[in-house]
Amino acid sequence: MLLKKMFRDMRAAKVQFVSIFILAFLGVFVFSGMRAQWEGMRENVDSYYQDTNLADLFVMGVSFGGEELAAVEALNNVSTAQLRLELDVIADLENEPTLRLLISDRNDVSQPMVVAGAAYDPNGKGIWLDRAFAEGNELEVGEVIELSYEGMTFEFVIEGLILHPEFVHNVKDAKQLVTDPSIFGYACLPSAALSIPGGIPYSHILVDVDDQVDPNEQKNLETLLSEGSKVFHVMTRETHPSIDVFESEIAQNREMGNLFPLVFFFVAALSMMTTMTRLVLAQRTLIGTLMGMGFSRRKIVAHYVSYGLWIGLAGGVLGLMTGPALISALLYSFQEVFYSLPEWSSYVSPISISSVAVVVFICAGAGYFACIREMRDLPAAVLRPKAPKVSKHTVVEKSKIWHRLSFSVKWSIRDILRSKARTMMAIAGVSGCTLMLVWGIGLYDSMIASQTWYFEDLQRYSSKVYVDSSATPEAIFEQPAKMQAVDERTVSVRDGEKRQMLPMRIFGEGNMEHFEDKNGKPLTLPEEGMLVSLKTAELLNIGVGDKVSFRLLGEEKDYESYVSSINRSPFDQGIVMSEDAFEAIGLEMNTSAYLLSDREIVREDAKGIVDIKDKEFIKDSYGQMLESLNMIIIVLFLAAVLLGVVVLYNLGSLSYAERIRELATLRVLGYPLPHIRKLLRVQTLLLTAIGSLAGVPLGIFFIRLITESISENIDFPSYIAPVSVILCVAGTFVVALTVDGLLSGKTKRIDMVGALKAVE
Amino acid sequence: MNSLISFEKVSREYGSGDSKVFALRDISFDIRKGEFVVILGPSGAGKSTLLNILGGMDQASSGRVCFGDEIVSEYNDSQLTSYRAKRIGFVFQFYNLIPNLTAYENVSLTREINDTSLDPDMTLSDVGLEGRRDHFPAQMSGGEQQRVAIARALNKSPELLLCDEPTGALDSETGVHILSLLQRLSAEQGRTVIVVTHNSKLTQLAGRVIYLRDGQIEKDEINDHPIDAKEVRW
Ligand SMILES: Nc1ncnc2c1ncn2[C@@H]1O[C@H](COP(=O)(O)OP(=O)(O)OP(=O)(O)O)[C@@H](O)[C@H]1O
Ligand SMILES: [Mg+2]
Repeated sequence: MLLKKMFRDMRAAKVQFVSIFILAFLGVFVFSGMRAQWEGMRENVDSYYQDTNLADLFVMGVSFGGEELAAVEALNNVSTAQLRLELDVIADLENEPTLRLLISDRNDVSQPMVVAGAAYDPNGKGIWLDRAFAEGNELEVGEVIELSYEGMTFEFVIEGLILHPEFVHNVKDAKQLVTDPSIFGYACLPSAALSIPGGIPYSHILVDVDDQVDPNEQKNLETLLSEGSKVFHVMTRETHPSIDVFESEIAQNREMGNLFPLVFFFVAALSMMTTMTRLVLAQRTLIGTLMGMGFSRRKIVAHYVSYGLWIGLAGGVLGLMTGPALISALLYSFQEVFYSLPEWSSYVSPISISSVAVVVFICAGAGYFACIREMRDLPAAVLRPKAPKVSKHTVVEKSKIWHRLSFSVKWSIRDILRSKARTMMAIAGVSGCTLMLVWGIGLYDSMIASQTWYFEDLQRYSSKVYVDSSATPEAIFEQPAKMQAVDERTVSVRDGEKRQMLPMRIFGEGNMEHFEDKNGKPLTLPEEGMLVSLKTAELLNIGVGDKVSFRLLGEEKDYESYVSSINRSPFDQGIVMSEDAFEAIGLEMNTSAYLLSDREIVREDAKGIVDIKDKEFIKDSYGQMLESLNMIIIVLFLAAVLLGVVVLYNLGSLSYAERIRELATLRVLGYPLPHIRKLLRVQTLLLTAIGSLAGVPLGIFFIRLITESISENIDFPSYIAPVSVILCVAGTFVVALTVDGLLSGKTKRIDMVGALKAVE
Repeated sequence: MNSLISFEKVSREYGSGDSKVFALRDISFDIRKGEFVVILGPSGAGKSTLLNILGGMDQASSGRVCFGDEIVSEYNDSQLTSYRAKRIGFVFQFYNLIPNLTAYENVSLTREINDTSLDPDMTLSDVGLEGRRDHFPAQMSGGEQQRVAIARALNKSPELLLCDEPTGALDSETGVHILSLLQRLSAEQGRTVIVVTHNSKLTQLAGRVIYLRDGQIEKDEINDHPIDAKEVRW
């Protein structure tokens, strides 16, 4: 019988119950969806790494051979090791993309995963090509690809198409953000396919350790092998560029997935609380009657708890059934652009499932508290209608402005202060709405700001000409004076006991690249000492004036300089020196590229050019990344609107129900409908103003959480344009006013006679 | 004819078909300006229904309701609203004050919609509540709340004051106070006042008494010598 009553009650207060249902649904939908998405990524990538036996340590150096391999394999804890040469060659295709060859004589560690063609044969003669590269350049299994390296050309038959666990993030270096087959790809090549007199000078030893990587392992290897002086650096999985980028992608998704649903949970809990309180209050006398009739307290409490239980359960289960599938599909659809994994599937973990329990608990708990609060009184007292809450003159009214406020504002402020639960719910919902708008637009603004900063403020050139060691400026340019030489290399920097591989750039005379300090003030290249980027300085834990000791690739000698300034750049981390400063410590610049503002000055018959890249071209790939961000922004936008509508609609109908008597009184007094609507609107607007003002700083905080978790190699300051903040706040108001418009029809239906017939 | 209000064959029915209920059935009467009328009848007789139609809160199902030269029963919603705003003062059994507005603010409500509104402070002192200006309803007794409600109704200087069981929720002494207040206002300011009650003792107060039963007028009496409210014994 009570069950029948419950359904009738729900129908009577349907707006509130529907909104709780939606919020419970959304909470679980978003939470379990986002969780299943990143946990799916976690599962997929872990099993991918497992299946392909991804290396645990990557020893990097020069001219490794059997001797070094034997030394590594002899180490404790090492199960297998494999030699590999990594070589960047140019493919003879339309855009002359770089192809990174992974040349090896075995297939034990970091195995390619073949997706088309023949199984990988470490003794084969053909080449196994990166699938994305093959597809992008319209190459098929069985065709021949022509490669060139330092003037030599080679031809290989494509035996198969592969994915490689070290190329989940398939880019040339940190500056390339998105996979682009016209710029870069990779391929596996058996050593047997090459015949090099004196054997292949391997650049890597891939190490597979038995259990976990012992922290001392890395050091052991370094000391052991550095005696032979060929080791340059030992990289762990944590510092591997592709692995690290994907890990931070997972971390970001986890961050989002934990924060985002919180907003929904919080608002759902508050909504349930207010709605249940309202419902129990309205049925106060009924509770008294039931108590008088001899229903046990427990039975009555159970009845009200079951409201929350059923709604929470229904919403939660529906959320769990739809969230993981839909949200993962949506987010994966654009992650696939950036990362290549053999499989993209969601994973529903026990934690996702338990979110249903959390929602049910919140909803049932709210019912429970609302109910026992009313039942504390004796049956006789409960039977009497509850005395209205006493309004008081509050502190606000003591101030001078109070008397200047219009009547409707005064009234709204008193009503807001009187119904605290409703007010809290409204403010939480509205600020959640603004928060998500600010979050989405702020992420976009931050990306745009970094884009302008990097491509307009820092990089002042329009093209970059990569040259080989034989090139001279005179042989390439008609007016050699108009360009700036740059030497880009990787050095090994001492970091306490360890070493870090870091990019270093040495600039000749010129002004093609600008530098800025932490506060955005321009920096000139120092004549001595070095500029160290903020992220690198944090990594090495050094500051201005500190000494920096580094080695060049393949050398044993240590060079030393000091930090003259800390600079900031979104994509260029590492060390920068001027040619003068470089020479001052006894080194010689070895130009690898020229920066120029006008491509026209390149000679027709130029010699020694490896590649020419226009800045616009790189900017485009950045733009591509921005476009995919639009998806996130749309999702956040929809979520914001949905949350705003649900909460404000619930607020509106609650406040309408609670104030029906007052509104009817005003109607009797002869207040015209528009006037009454205005009264209600003033309250909505006041709460919207408070909520959205609270939402802005929260949103900015959320942007920062995301930008800071992005990557080691990217320095991505959070930024939101003032006009965007205004737009977000305005957007929130639009939502509020729209909902207000939807609700305004209710005032027309105020039944004066009915509402005023008796005390509630 | 100098009648202020006239009802011509007014009916109000609820529901339809078999479950049709007549709250008022073919009622006709006139009320002149300045009269103090008591409407008496048992519960369910249709008293509130009559008053609500008179006050523009409800519409008759058939018949004609006139106020002066105007036909109220043909008004649309916004005409009814301004009719209520300009001409009618309403007092309820349960006061219906706005709980989070002070006495003064409750009375001032009329100023937002009616330009002939009086000074709320004056009206409050007319009902003897000048000392309660900044109190909220919950801080006042029932009688005081009812006086605020009367002040609110009077503050727009209405041509017609309608009171639906104004003393119903009050003890007898306070009830007498309220009634003598109404009586005084009617006499001093020449206002037309209609009071609904089911307490037959009150008939002695009024210049005219209309008896209602089952939605019909049973008796319509003129009382030439109404006594002062203070002399009524309950
Ligand atoms: N909304 C409604 N729906 C159906 N019937 C109604 C409705 N309102 C009133 N009635 C009926 O109309 C009749 C008159 O009601 P009304 O409220 O006018 O009585 P009353 O004389 O004011 O009674 P009381 O002294 O108890 O207040 C009653 O029989 C009632 O049942
Ligand atoms: Mg009545």
